[in-house]
Amino acid sequence: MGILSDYLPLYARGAAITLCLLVSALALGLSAAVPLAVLRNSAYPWLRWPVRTFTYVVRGTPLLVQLFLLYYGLAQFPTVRASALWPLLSSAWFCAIAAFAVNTCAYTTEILASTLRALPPAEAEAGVAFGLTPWQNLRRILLPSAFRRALPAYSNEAVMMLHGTSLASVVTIVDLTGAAREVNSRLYLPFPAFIGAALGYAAITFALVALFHAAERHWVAPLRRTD
Amino acid sequence: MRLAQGLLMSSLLCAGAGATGTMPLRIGVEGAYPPFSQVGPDGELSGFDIDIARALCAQMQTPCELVQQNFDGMIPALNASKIDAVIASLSITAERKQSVDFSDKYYKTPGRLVARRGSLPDASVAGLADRRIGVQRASSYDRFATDSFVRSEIVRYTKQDDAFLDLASGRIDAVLCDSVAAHVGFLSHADGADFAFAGPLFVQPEYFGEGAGIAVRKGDTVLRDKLNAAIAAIRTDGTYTTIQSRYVDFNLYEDAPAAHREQSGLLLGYGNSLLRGAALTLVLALCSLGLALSLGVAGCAAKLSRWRMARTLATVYTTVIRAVPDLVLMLLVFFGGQVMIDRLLAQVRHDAQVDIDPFVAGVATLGFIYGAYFTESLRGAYLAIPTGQIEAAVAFGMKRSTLWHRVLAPQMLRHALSPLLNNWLVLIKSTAIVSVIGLTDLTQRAGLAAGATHQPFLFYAVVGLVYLGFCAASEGIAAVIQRTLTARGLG
Repeated sequence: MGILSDYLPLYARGAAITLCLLVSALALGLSAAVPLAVLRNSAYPWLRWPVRTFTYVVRGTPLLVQLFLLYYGLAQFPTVRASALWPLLSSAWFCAIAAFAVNTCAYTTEILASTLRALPPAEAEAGVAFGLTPWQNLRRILLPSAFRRALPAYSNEAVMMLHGTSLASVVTIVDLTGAAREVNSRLYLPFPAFIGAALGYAAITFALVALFHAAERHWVAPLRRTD
Repeated sequence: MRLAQGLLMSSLLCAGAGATGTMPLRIGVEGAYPPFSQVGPDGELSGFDIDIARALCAQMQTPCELVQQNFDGMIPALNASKIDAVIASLSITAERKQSVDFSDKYYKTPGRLVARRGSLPDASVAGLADRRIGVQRASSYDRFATDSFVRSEIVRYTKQDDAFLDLASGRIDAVLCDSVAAHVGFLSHADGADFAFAGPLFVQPEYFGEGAGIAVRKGDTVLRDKLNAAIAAIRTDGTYTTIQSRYVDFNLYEDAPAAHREQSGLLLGYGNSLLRGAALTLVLALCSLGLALSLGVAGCAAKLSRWRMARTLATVYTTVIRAVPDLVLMLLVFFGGQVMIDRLLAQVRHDAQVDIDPFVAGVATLGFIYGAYFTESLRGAYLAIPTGQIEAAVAFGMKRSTLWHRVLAPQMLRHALSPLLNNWLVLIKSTAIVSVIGLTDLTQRAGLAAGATHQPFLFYAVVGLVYLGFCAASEGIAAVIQRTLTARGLG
């Protein structure tokens, strides 16, 4: 690994970029997923179906293809290039974060929606019995309860998203994988180059898992006692 | 379990199909660097490099196989003995000479900057400050730009075509590349109408060397001398001039053949190519599924085993695999696996050779990764069976095989169906990333078609639809299996 010491700053910058991509995508994806998950369980088909179609299409296609569609695909149309959105869409950063956020949003929506459906009916009934309005019931009782219960499934999604960010290297962003590819193309030493990146990802994965475990101990364990 | 055995068999057959039998001369070519090298709608390679390669093989009277590779994987593949020579407009440079040997040059053209007309009045280092310059990753232009345009931002692409797509869409300010490649691959297209060459001719020999040569492994002087003799022969007998006039003259005075190709038929004529890519993607996914299921069964057995060693090994396997991205593992297996196999073989016997092609690397990596996920799914299915049932079966005096056959396997199938379906849906979508290591699967072919027709949205949308179809079909088949199980009282 001594050979790589010159390239350590490149890897460190790459890891920072990977983390930045991950955090932005997860934050955006989760914020959008909360209302979508509620709509997904709506009693009205015209609210339910668009969300269902969205999650079905996004979850049924590869992330790499979604990224290519956003990055190369949209740029094909002169109207897009002339539009006010172009300064954003022209940046590889924006496209990568947007593609990752849309992807994780679809999965998170399904996780939250199915947790909401599986909540013990007594929780909602208790809220109604206390005289809460449907909106208060959702905000005070159902969503917090669903968040806790969805935590284990969401931690898997966060790790999958971390792995997904490695695709940013395909659209010119020098993330952790991009750094390894650059090192390999300069030194022609695949083992140190890619194992360096793999170690970085493993460290981030384990940190994420530890973080979620701590969160579960804090928020989910008390729930188990009362179940 | 019979299903798993069948799938293992088919995965072995798939692996066998990827290995090479008798050894023709394997020449690495690129396929995304028009007019030197490009892939048509029919999947056929064409271009100056390709014609030169074929002419040299005919001259040497050697059977040849053209192996398509991404440019940045070319020298690693050569040194890993996946290919024997590289004819891919590779500039002869001092830096590269440390890794490979070169033939005499077979062409030489200057490098140029391409930019929107009038947008780069001053192409000096200061004039280019803060501009974004696109280059092909690991090319001479990459090195030259990195060292020379120190005040600019260098943006690196895997394929030259992608750099032109981004130049046209305004994401970068200029592209630095070979002048002929720029003229034919971009400036003569409709997209390139507003663009022109800017700045001086770049011919610095310390970067661009003595021109483009054919790379062979270090010390392979026999092949190098044969290639040099063949280059000299086609230069004198007129073959070279014929090929050259087909590209350079034609391209300089008329439109490029690629631009004027009849683009009609299903998906501008690329329908068949995409169909073949889709078939390859499906075969790749099924072979990976076979390997993953076998590894999953083995891993599950190890995790439930009485031996601590087996349990630890299986835990390390599932933990490590699930901590590293697919793409990183795939690049490691593709580039690194070959280096390792070569070292191992060199200790046994010198002439032995085993190749990893992108297909085998893809199956191995995906099978290995999803084996870890399958291990967990199968283990979960086993743990879902109440222990009381096992105890009851033992109390009835059932043998271990009967216990598996009558009690465990049927119920595991029921519990495992839904998680295995989920694992499979993730697996099939992961096949798209095998295109990054150069397998001509659906996504790779769509990328080549997008580069040639300048219609990326159309082609990637089609890829998305095909994957959606695969997923929908998988869910349909799983539903049928579920119904059959229910009908037999197992649902």
